[in-house]
Amino acid sequence: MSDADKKEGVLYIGIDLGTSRTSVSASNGVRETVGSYVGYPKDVVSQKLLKKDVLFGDEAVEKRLSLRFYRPLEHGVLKNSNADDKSDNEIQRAAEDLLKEAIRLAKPRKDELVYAVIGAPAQASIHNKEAIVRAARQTVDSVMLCSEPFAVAYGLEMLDDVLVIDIGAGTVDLCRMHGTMPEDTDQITLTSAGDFVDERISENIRTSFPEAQFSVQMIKAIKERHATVATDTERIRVDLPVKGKPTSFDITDELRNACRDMIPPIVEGLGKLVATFDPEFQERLKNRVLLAGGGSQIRELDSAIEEYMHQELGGGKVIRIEEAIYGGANGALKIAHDMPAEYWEKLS
Amino acid sequence: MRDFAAPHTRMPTANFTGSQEALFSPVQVRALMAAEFERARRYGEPLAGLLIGVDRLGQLTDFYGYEAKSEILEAIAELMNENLRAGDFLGCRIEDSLLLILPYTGRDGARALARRILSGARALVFEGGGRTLRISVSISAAYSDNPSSNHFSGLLEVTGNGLRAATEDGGDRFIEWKPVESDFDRLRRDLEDRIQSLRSDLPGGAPRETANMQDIAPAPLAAAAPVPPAAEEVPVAEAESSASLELSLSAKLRSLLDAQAAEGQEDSAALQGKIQELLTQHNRQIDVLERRISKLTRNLELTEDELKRMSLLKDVDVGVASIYRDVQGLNADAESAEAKKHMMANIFEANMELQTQINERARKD
Ligand SMILES: Nc1ncnc2c1ncn2[C@@H]1O[C@H](COP(=O)(O)OP(=O)(O)O)[C@@H](O)[C@H]1O
Repeated sequence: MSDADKKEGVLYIGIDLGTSRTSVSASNGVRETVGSYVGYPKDVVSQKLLKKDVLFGDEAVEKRLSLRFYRPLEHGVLKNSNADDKSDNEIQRAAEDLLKEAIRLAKPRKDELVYAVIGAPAQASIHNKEAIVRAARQTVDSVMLCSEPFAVAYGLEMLDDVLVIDIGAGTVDLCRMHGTMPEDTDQITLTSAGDFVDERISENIRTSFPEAQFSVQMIKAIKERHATVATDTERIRVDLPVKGKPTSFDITDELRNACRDMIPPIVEGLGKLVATFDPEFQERLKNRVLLAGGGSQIRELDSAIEEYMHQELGGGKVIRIEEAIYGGANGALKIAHDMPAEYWEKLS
Repeated sequence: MRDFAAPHTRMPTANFTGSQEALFSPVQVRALMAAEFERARRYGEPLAGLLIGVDRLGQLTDFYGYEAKSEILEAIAELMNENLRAGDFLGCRIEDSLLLILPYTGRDGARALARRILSGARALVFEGGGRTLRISVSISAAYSDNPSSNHFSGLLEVTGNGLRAATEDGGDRFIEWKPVESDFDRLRRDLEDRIQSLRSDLPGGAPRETANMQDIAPAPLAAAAPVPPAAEEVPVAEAESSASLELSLSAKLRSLLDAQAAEGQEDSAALQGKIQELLTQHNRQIDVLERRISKLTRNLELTEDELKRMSLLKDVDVGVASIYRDVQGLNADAESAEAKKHMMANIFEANMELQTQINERARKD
C-alpha cells in the first residue's frame, strides 16, 4: 500500500514483548494479549488437522504435541537471532510471526499508517534489538524500541528516579530508572521468578502431601488463581488427584511460603541499586518502587515487599501497577503518542 | 609389500592422506581446486575432475583391517604420481575416494588417464596375513564445460553420482555420468542402439562397439542433443505431457525405421539425418510445452498467494479507527512537558542509531 492511500490516519500501537506474554495496546482502544508461544504444524497431517500454518499462545500450548513449538523470547530476549542454522532460523521466524500476530490483534485499518513502540527487555542485546526491529518493520510503517521498565514507569508518569520490579515467568528484572535508557549498572536480573515459584510450590506440596498427583501446569494455574503472601487469609483448598481420585488439600502454607521465597532476593537487589545511587536521591528512590509483571498479581506482594524493605533497608514504598498485564503496553502506547510526528516520519 | 611412505615431496599440490608434511592441507587443496575451477571457467579452458574409488573398500577394510585401507589408498595415490607430473594436478581425499582436478585437461586426456589408472589398479598386488589381495577401482569424470557441472560443487556432485553408479554396476569401470536421464534420453539411447544394430547388419556397416570402456565413447547423437533440465525442475504435469509426446515420437520413429527396412539400402548417414530432424522437431515441441507449463506454474503460484492472502483477511474485520492523530504529540502545557520532550528525543536518537546499524548490516550482507 502506498503512503498516499494511508494519509487518513495513524494507528499507534504499544507492544510489550514478554517471555511468556505479548501484550498490545492501541490508540483505537484495542487491548489484546497473547502468550508468547508459536507453533508450526509438524507435518502435513497435523497441518490438515489444525487447518493453520501457524498457531499462537494458548492454542499453540494446547496443540504443542503436533507442532514444532517455540518460545521465541525465552530468557527475555530473542533467542539466537544471529545464528544461521535451520531451527534457529525458525526461532527467528517465530519471533517475526509473533510480532505480526500482535500487530494483527491491534486491528489496524488498511488506510491507516501504523506506528509502533515496542517495549523490549532491558537486557536485550543489540542483536536482539536489531532482530526485533527488522521483524516489526515488515508489518508497520515506523517502529521504535524502548526499554520495557521505562515504558512501565512512563505509563504511570513516574519519569525519574524509579525502581521497577518486573516479575515475569523466567526472570525478575530490577531496574533503576533515571533517564530513558537504563544502563547495565542500573539492572539486576534474578531467576527467582514465576517459574521458580511454581517449582517451589510443587516441592512444598510433594513434601506435605506425597500422595497427591499433579503437573507443573496444574500448579501454575492454581498459583494464578490463589497466590497470596498474606498471613490472615481464608484457607486455600484445591482438589488434586490421589490414585486418580480427586481429593481436597489445604495448600495455604505451601503456596504462601513458596511465594514469600521470592521476596528476600528482590529486596536484596533493591538494596544494591539504592546503595549505588546518588546519596542525595536514595530516599526518593526507595519510596518510588513500582511492582509490575504477571507475578505482581500475587496478592499482598506489594505490602510484603514494603515490610521487608523497612526491615532490611530502613524504609520504602511499593506501588503495584493497576494493570499487570497491560502496564508495559500502555506505557509504550503513551510513548508512541507523545513522540513528535516528525520523529516517526524520519524513521519510516 | 610396497613402501608408500613419503611420496609427498613429489606431489606438492596433492594431499591424499591429510599429512602435515605436505605443502597444502586437504582443506587448502580443496580451496585451490575451487579456485582452479573458477579460473578454467572464466577463461574457457578445459578442466576435468576425476573421482576414484576402490571397489568394495568397506569389505576389504572389514577383512584386512584399517591399515590395509590406508595402504590401498596410498597405493592408488602413488599410481597417480606415476602417471602425472606433480604440477599437473590437484588431489585430495573425499571420504574414501580420491579426487583429482586436472586443469587444461579435456575429455581425451581424462579418459586416457582413467584407462591407465584402471589398468594400474588391476596390476596392484597387496599381501596381508599370508594372502594375496588384488583390487579394482571405479572412476567417474566430470568436465567444467558441462552445464550440470559448471560450478565446483556441481562438478563434485556429478563425479560423486557417477562413482556411485559405476560401483553399483559392479566396479572396475570408468563412467562419465550424465546428471538426469529423462525418458526422452532413454528413448534416444534405445534408438541409438537400434541404429547401431541396424548399421552392423548393413553390408560394410561399422561393427558394434565392444570396447570394455564403452561408456567412454560419446554416442553420436548424444553430443548433439540438448541437455535435459535437472530433475527437480520438472513439474509433474510436464513429465506427463512430455510422456505423451514421447509416445508419438516413438511411433514416428518406428514408422521411419520400418519404412527404412522396407526400402532396404538407404545409407545410414541419410537415416541419421532424418532421425536428427525428427528429434529436433520433437525438441522444439517439448520446448514450447515446457515454456507453457512454467508460465502456468507461475500463474498458479500467484493465484495461490492471492488466495492465501484473501483467506487471512477473511476473518479480520476492517479494523478499528484510531482515536488519536489530532491529539498527536506532547501538549506543551502537559505536566513535565520539557522532561518528556527530552526523553522522546533520546528514544528517537537511540532508534535512529539502531536503524543506521541495521541498514549498514543489510548493505554488508
Ligand atoms: N494472578 C497471578 N498470580 C500470580 N502469578 C501470576 C498471575 N498471573 C500470571 N502470573 C505469573 O506471571 C508470570 C508471567 O508474567 P509476565 O509479566 O506475563 O511474564 P513475561 O514478562 O516473562 O512475559 C508467570 O510466571 C505467571 O504464572
